[in-house]
Amino acid sequence: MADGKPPCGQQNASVDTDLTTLLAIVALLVSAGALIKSIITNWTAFSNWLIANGVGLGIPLAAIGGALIAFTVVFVIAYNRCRPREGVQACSAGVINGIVPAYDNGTDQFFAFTGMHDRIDVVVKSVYWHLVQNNVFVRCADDVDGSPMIAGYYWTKEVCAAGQGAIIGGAAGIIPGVLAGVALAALIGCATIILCILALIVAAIVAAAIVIAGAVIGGQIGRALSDETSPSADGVALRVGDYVTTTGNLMNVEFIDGARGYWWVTESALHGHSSEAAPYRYIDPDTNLTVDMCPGPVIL
Amino acid sequence: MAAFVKLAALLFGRLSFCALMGALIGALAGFLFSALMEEHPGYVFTTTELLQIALPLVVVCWLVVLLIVGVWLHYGVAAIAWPLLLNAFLTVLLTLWANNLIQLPVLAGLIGLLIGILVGSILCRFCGRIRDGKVIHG
Repeated sequence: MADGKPPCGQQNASVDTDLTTLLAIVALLVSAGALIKSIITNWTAFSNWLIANGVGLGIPLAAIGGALIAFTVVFVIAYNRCRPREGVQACSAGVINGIVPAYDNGTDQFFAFTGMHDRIDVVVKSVYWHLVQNNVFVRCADDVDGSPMIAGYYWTKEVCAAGQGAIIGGAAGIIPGVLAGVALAALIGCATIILCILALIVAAIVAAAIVIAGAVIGGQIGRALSDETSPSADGVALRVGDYVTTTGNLMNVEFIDGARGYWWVTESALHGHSSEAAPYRYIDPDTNLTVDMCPGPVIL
Repeated sequence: MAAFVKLAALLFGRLSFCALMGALIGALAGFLFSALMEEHPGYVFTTTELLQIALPLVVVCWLVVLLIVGVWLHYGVAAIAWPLLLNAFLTVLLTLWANNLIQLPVLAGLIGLLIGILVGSILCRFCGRIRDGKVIHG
């Protein structure tokens, strides 16, 4: 094994900004009970309806909370997938060990806002190992050496269009969701403690479900209106086993446990195809990809 | 929004995965309990009533967080389901108990969030190696 190979696997915990942002917004929402109550009481038609039907403030509070939390989840997931992130401009080369296309599973197909950009996993030449090392997580191929990899995300129009559609659809579902949640919960009522907690849960879940349904519909519409893409270099679709040079914004990517990846690849060049099969060893590109497109000393 | 994302990472980025899960569960449970307190202002719940309230809340909070984190954020349902259930059970019970004692609906969600962080952090220490490894497709 060559000297200086980064150790594979986790070295330190990574920060998942999906989770931290979600938690921060949920914390704001649950602290805004007084504000939500004042919105309810100032919404004259709604508060008159509540009084006429003997519904207290708790049920609409639960419904509004459920709808807003559901919308927050959709918004944070969609936003985090398409925001540019701060990294360093870098370049590396190697052999493609795997390709993960966007929407490669049923969950992402259905909840289109959870889809992820097309990704290639490149076993890099040993000269680029310093780019892989980040003291958070080092991803390696399943070969005998555990050859270090750098991921390359390709901005996928479908993913961002689905996210935008989901945000619009989710927002459109908030008011109908709240009204439906309150109406259903009012049927159950708050006569006893156990009935009341069930009514509150129904109010929150119905409101949230309608927001999510709006997001699912919006996400599918957004996705349908955009073009399907796949990772390519020089107009040629990339395949497992291709030798490539990738250039772009290199950073610790939270979606792969904080391992190094390009978010996103801005340029890629194809240099031929390996005669071996995956999983690839770093020795393959070291031997067969002696000249790549990266300029001189690599920037990190 | 980018600044908010940074602020959130600064506030919660050092918390363990279990603590983040606990915080979400606690915030949800506290918020729903605050709505219940709005429906019954000033009412102090008995231990039996708290247990009756806790049961559906544990199930709902568990399922909601399992859907968000396990399915949508790709951590994998099987990987987190059982530790999350224990986390939900303890966090919800303590959140209800504390809020019933304090009787401040406006703060119920935040109290739940803090209790969740505490419970999750303790659970992570006990469990030792529950890590935030995502199920990465492919």
